[in-house]
Amino acid sequence: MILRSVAARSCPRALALSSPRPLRRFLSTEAGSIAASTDTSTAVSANVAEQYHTYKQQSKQMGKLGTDISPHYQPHTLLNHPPSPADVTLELLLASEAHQGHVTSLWNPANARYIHGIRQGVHIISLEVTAAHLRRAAKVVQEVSRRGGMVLFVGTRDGQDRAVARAAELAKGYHLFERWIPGSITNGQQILGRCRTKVVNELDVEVPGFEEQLYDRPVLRPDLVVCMNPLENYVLLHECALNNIPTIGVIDTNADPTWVTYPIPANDDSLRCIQVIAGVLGRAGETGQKQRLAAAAEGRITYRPATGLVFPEDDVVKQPEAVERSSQRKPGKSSRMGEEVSGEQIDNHAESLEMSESLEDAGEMANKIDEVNNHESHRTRDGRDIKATS
Amino acid sequence: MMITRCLPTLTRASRRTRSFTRSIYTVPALLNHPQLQQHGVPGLLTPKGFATAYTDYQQHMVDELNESTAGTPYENQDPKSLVIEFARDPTKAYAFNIASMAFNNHFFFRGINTNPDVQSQPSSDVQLQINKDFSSTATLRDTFLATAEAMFGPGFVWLVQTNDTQFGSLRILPTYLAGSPLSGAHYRRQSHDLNTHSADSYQALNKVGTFGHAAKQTQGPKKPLGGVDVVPLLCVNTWEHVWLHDYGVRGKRQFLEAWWDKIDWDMVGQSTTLSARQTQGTGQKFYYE
Repeated sequence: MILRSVAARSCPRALALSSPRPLRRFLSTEAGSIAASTDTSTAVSANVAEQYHTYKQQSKQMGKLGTDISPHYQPHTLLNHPPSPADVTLELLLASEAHQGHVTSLWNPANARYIHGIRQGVHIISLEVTAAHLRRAAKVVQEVSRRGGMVLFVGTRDGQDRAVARAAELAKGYHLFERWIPGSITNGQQILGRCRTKVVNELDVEVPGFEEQLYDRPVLRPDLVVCMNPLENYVLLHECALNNIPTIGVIDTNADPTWVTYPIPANDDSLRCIQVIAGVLGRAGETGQKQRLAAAAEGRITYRPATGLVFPEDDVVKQPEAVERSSQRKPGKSSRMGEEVSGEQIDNHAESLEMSESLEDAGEMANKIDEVNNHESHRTRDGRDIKATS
Repeated sequence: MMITRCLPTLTRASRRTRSFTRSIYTVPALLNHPQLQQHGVPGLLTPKGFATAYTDYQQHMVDELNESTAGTPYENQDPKSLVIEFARDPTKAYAFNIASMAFNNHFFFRGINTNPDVQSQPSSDVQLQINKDFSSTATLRDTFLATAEAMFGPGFVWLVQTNDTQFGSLRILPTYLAGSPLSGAHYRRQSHDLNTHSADSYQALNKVGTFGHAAKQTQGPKKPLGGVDVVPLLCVNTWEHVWLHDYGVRGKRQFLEAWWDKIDWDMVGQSTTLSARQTQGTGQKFYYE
């Protein structure tokens, strides 16, 4: 101990990290050492998961040492942890540049009610109006999701893909960030007719055995379309209007608010604003889905089930209490609408007995009209063309 | 010419005009911070000494960090990641220094037991490891304090846990001036006083230009990812401004002995259990740069 103290006083190097490397400075590389290094390198690579876990633990322990960092904008949080409708504040919208309109000469006068004023030659959108419309749209998305509807999130500008895909992921809906193929709704059988359809029960579990019955059913359509850039998607919005599909759209000062059912006056040129709006609507859809599944777990069905489907076992009589619901398969990594599967259309049959008679006829009539409209001369069954049955 | 041109980037950031920007960095609060500000660290620092060592100095580091990083891509990053980022870049030497001092100083004060009613003792696991590596706590204390006292000039002395089984898991690491014990910042570990070293030993530290089959190259396995091979457990701040007011110019030893009794061994225990287990019995040797 005495020697060590003396050494420490005069030569702390002796006590510090000392490696044998100075002795080996002039040795050439040896084959043995290379073999040894490959052996240990495989052992090290096998420990990568353990090292990552240790690294994460150490970051928790001493990662925040040194200073406190005041809260600031972190772009990734808008996509990974988007705000919910309750988190919408005027400060958030202002920071996301939702108030920035276009130059006054480019405005659409129909938007006058949404505009707060003019500053530096641009129109400023009133943020109270934006917040109110955003909350209303969130309520619509939530309720459609709660009632088992299909929500389609569309955002075809550069950089909107992640926001739109994340919103669809939260709301268990569908997304589109490439060009909308015209006719996907009005000419759905042609464009989406080859997509796979499946039948799911109230807990979203697929029920097999309905493949034969699904061949004759018409192509599915969304029940709600949320569009982040309506100016570039006129065809999509027009098709939705022709087919009574409600739409939500981010309306800038130069956009036409009559193109959508529920406008959200905001800045569609700011990616941060789009991420906030898509995040809020995605969260609203997530809430609706949770409510639907919670009700289903208790045995309450919040939607009108599809009729015309027969259980594969008994083909004698239709089951009026069938709680089967047909829906689209969730798209995987592909984004194009043309490659999405089409699903079943939810028939507008009433559940209650009083209205069943009158509306059942109307429903069947609607079914027949749809079949006439959607039937094409080419249908694939088991990969080959079959004769059309009118 | 080249040297003078580089100088402005290496000097204080306060030469620049102060801008009216929001300060991202603020001084972190310690446990029982109001009591510390009022009464100092019981048994170690008076209130004025604590104000100098932590409150004023940490605020100084925070202000310098704010000025250095404002408007740069580094402005919202925590000091630990700044230390690792700037360690390899000589043009960011000053930014490294202030980030490293902020980190090290906070680490030092976080590892002090500020509760006067509690006598902190190492847990059984930690005690076992100490006995294995240093044969006893008394030996560890003597070695540690002797190392700290022998360092001429300011710096830190760390107790680190490593995965190196040849020399022992727990090791003492001195870092001169604003050197960092973090594995990712090994370029600026500064564990040796280069003023007392020969040119040959300096070459052992600096491996610039060593490539080719004739150069000395480490053939050992690579370091583990994430810098988990070195885990700092506790440290002592031997900068003069910490102990000068309370202990005088000759009081370094007295300060070190007073500090040893105020170590928070629970914090040591928390940090040490997070380190990687020694998976191989024969031991993986990690070669240090």
